[in-house]
Amino acid sequence: MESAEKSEEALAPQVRAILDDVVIKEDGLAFVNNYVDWVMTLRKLPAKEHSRVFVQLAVLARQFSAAGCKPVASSLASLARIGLGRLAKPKAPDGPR
Amino acid sequence: MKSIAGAMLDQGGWQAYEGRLLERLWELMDEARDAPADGSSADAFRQGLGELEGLEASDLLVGGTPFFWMNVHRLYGSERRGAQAQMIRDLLMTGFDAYFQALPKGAGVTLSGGERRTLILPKLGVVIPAVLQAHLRRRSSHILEVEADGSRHTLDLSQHSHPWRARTLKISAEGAETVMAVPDAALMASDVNGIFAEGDLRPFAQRVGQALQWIQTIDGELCASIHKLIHWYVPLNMLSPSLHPSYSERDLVGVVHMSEAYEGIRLCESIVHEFHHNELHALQCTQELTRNDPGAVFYSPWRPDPRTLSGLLHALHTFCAVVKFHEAAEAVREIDFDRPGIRQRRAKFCQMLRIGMLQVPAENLTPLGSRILQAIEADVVHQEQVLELGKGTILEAVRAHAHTWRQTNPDYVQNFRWPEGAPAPVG
Repeated sequence: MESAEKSEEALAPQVRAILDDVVIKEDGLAFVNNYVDWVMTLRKLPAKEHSRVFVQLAVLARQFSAAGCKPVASSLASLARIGLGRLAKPKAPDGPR
Repeated sequence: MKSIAGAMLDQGGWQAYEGRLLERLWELMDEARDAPADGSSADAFRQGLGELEGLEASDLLVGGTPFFWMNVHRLYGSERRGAQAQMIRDLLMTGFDAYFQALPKGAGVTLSGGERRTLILPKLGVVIPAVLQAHLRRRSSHILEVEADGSRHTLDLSQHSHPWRARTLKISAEGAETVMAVPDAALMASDVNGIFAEGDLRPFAQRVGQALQWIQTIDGELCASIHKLIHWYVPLNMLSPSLHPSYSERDLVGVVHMSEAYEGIRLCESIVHEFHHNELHALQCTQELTRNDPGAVFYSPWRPDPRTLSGLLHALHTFCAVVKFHEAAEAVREIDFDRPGIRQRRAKFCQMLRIGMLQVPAENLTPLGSRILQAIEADVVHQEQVLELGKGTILEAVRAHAHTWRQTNPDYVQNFRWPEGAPAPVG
């Protein structure tokens, strides 16, 4: 009998840093700290080369949404879209924005 | 004094709000960059937004007007954006207006929406008579060149007498506040519920300026927050001799619309009220206060129609702020106003707040929404103590409003709540 092996992909350093910037306050206020800087950083990232970053952000967005934290989910989804949008357009330039 | 929503904005809410604005704009700019160079509206989109590429995030935030951001939201929320000729024109028009001073010399934009239309540049204070297509170019910090339908015009914006002056007026030479009365689709939400006042803007501008000075005297911290957020004041016609309209729009944060006939402490109250709507709109742009229950509507003691939970929360937030402002005003001796009248109004609003809070189903609030309601509750308790209001005492007018609402909204009375032991609503 073959044993099933679960592997968990390590978070890309950029994704780890973004997660470190997630703020959820006691009163429920939730946001990604330095959000504008993150948008600018990710726009400069070549999407194909860093596709893992954008896919991981999309997965995390889904997890935050499932946990009921819509503001953070929405921000992570937007960050994911920066790269996924470019990956979905085969003819569009992939370079920094 | 800061409201609870204001404190939340300061603790990260503003940052999230500004991030949302930029994220949407940048997404549109990415789309624009990929648009075809074929002479279509998508081409104008690419060329026009391309002019903003060189601006830093801080330039975009400082220069952006509420009208520009509303058009960003509008186009962002639409499908097949590249084909939305009128939306693209409105976005480019308000963008050129907003960032005119930040753009390089020679930067320009082509505006064509498929139909003859007046072009409005609110920040520059210019209205260009109906044209089919126009090209606007920045010649210098005060020279605007307009090529429209085959003719070329040069406007010196430093001259107040040029023929295309819009109905806008700075409230003071040094401040950022402007009175504006230009009813144009690019500057308004689609479901406008007021008629922009006509005639001389100066008396209204003077009254707003005076009201802001009063607010400064009464509550300096509140006034600083108003100055920071609200830069546009739109005067509205009165709906009847005793009915003053006022409103704010979700996607037009930074603009307040109010009766042109308000003055004195009532104008102060209206500014404070509309400012708090704007504050909550900014917070709600990124934060949820209520849980999804699209069909649910509730009684609001201030409205004849049933309101969504978010609408009811807005009423509670804004009127609570007004009551606190009244309290602060009463403590200031150097301003002359009808003190007994304001005291009576404050007591009435407290009763309405108490009844309004009863309508809120706590389970439909998010933790953040609950926190806001808790803060309102604490403020109302304080006011009831200061004003020595008995919980069972309810003004005839408040009871009559509830009675009429129940009669006219029989389908929603199951959500109606009334204070225990209080005299029943009466007609």
